[in-house]
Amino acid sequence: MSEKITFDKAYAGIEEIVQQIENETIPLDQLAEKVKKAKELIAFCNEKLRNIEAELKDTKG
Amino acid sequence: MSYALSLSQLLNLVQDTLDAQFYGQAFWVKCEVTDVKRYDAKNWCFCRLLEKKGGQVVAESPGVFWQQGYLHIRKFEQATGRKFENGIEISALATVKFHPKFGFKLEIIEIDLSFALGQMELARQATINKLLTDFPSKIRQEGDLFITPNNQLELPRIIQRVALIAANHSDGQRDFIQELTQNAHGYPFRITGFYTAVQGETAPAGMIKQFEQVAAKAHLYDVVVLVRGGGSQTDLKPFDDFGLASTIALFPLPVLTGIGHDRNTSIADLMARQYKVPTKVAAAIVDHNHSLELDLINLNERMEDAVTALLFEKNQQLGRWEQQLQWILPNRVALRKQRIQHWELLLTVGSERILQNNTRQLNQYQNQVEAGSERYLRNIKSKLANMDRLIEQLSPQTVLKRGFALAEQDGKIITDTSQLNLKIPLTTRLAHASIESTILKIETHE
Repeated sequence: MSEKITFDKAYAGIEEIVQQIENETIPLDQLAEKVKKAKELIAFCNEKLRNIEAELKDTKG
Repeated sequence: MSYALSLSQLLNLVQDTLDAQFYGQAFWVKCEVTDVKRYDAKNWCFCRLLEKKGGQVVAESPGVFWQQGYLHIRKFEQATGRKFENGIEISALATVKFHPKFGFKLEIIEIDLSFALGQMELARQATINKLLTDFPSKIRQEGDLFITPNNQLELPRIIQRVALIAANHSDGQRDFIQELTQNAHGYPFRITGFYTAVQGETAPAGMIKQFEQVAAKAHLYDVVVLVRGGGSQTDLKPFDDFGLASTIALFPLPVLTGIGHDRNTSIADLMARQYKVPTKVAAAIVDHNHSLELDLINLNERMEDAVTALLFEKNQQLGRWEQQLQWILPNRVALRKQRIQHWELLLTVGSERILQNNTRQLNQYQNQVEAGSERYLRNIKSKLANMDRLIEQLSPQTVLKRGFALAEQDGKIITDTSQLNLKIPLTTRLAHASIESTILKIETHE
């Protein structure tokens, strides 16, 4: 996953995938791939929530 | 030399005269207090009482609060949230006291709280009105609430970088930091302190300056927190300052306030997001992040439910199709068979009938044909006989026998003179003889 993705983008991405699955607008072929992507984004958000070390390095100085 | 009174004799006379006039009476008097000196241990307070007109002092008197009056100072501070200090305007119930040794004093036994609140509210309302008229397109009032650019800013989805404006080493600062950093969920925060005095005359300017410092590096922070611990004697006047209020109202980062007591709302609070006390600001931030974490959990659950439901549904569908296939094929075959049998039956029954019909028809036709053909043959025979007779009558032999002759030339029958060749002999055929003759002259009849 890209390092530069923002928290808000990741969150919006999760919401979009969940809605697509709920509305059944995802072809069955892509389901597994989309679920994997959503799981990655959720993990990314959780990581951000629990750890701001990366953020600190970015903003110091 | 005239007789001189001792000072005490004179002042006793003054005391007697004043007592005679004022003893047992109390007067409501409006005045401003200054030179406030409090003795909290003894519950005394000394001050000077002033009346000003156009900025000039036109009346002045020492004032004193003994225990009874001091109780009202405490009540005043509780009710107004303001510290009883220089510059405060009060309406007080005063008795006139004169003591030969301690001099003239107005002894205050009660403070009119509704007047104090009214005064405060008037000043506050004036500030609010100024905010509304100076920023008409930005700040507006809806009932008790104020809509400002700041409190309409969306909070970032995740709050981690906090700019804290507070008095250094204050209860508010300590409470906020403790509540935030020791949160039950273990969320990490980075708190940057912008410390300044939050009470006294210079507090508004100091706070505005700190806000400006934060604004200069706004991209480094998610929110600004402004806190002020609520002691028993709080002076919240700086938070009603016009300059501070307008700074907050237009501030580019969301401002979260925890100022004073639960029951106080300053104008600064109205311009921002108000959480009443420092610990509640911290709790709100933690809750904000926690609700995000719950959202993530919820999204994950929704997704898993949706996937399960989707797969279940597809599986069901497959099962239904399979079942339908199993049923449909034999059914179709059976149905076809049935139809064919039906058709066969129809054919058998029908064909017999058709055969019978056809046979009958054929017989009928045969009869008709037989009857018709006999009649036809008879007709034809008689027609032939007639024709035979006619032909017989018309045959050249018959015609010649009746006395007619045929003109022939070179074997061809001549029916017109144009066919004639004068050089060839003309044959005239009779019934039983032929005469050859030369043509001498042709004369055409009309």
